[in-house]
Amino acid sequence: MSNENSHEENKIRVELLDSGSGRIVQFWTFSCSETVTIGRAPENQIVIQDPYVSRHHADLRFVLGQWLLTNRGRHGILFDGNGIVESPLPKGAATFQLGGLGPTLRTSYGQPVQRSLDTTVISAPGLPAGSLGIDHDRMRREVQMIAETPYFRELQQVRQRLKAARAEA
Amino acid sequence: MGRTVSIHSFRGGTGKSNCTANLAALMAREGLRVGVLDTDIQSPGIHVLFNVDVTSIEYCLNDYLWGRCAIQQAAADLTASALLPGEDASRAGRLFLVPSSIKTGEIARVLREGYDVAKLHDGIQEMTRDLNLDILLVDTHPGVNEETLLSIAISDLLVLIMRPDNQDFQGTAVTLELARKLDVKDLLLLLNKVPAGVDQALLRTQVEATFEAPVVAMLPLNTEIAQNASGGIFCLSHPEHPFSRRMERVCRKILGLE
Repeated sequence: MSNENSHEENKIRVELLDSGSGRIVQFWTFSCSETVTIGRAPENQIVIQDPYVSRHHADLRFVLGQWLLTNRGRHGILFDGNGIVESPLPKGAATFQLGGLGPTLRTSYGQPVQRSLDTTVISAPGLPAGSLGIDHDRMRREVQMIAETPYFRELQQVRQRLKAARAEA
Repeated sequence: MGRTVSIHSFRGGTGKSNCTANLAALMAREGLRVGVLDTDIQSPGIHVLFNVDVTSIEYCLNDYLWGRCAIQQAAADLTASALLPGEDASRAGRLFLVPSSIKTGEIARVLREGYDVAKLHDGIQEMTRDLNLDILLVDTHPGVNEETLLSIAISDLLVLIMRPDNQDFQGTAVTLELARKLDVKDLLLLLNKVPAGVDQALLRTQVEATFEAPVVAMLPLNTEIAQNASGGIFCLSHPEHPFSRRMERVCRKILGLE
């Protein structure tokens, strides 16, 4: 079970961010047994059509408990303001840029990303600007209020009993 | 053992009952034995879509909850409503509805006295067992209360319906998080009433990234459907309409056929 859990929490999520607004344009999730290749060529796991992205620009691999980011392209990778050849990614969220003028990617794994400081704003052409959003702090407060009630705890037990009964059947 | 699917939305007016009724009819047409349970006791409505005159039927969910009947006795056989005119009944599966009472006295009693939520749990299990259902769709009350949490907790799959609207998004985020805390892993989002001209691909990506759950369909804001809202099963009367096509896909996804 712990194995399954650690497998689950070491999954990496990679988000392609819009250069202007910082909003998520596309995202992918990979398990720690995969080598994730990033580049312009269609055979990559993450394909990004951008002139500043090399055909094979970067790799992500899970090595000894952490995800490693490796440069493979000629435009380089900017991570924390520095060009890198290879660097471990910290647990939680990390952001890097493909080339000095290329797109920005955000990764997260290992621990829940605290989004408490921001409000996710969703907007797409055709919707009123900034019309959709989630206040994560408020959401967590409301969830906690409900999840701490005896009734909710009882439901969690009901769920586990049902699952056990189904597994037996 | 039949599957239980809860269909929920955080606020009213999302088109939840309309989607539920259409899905139920489509599933019956796939040859399944389908049950629909209207647990929106405070504001029942799905019976209207099936053209059921609740005043003429003997028992409702309320009667079961007060111990006046078995759940099977409160189930109306609506298989005929899933058939096209002149179609042979042997082709379809079966479709049953357990409605909630529309009598104000009954609604008032629930509001005044409450009822034993455990009894609702029994009712859901008995309905699946006694009607030998392949799938039970639970049309829930909007918001988060004891019975919606119960129906989420005992579901194999939760479908959350929302409009592209701030309050819907915030409330759906809360419901989704509660479902995850209840260890409900099969979750689908359905975006309804999406205005024309919206970049749907981008909206879908952003919604999936934000909620970390798949969007099963995006349905357009459509006056034809709105006008039809209380007059029958749209997917059957307009089978070629894009709405109907998308609902068929939702149906297949829920059934695990694609």
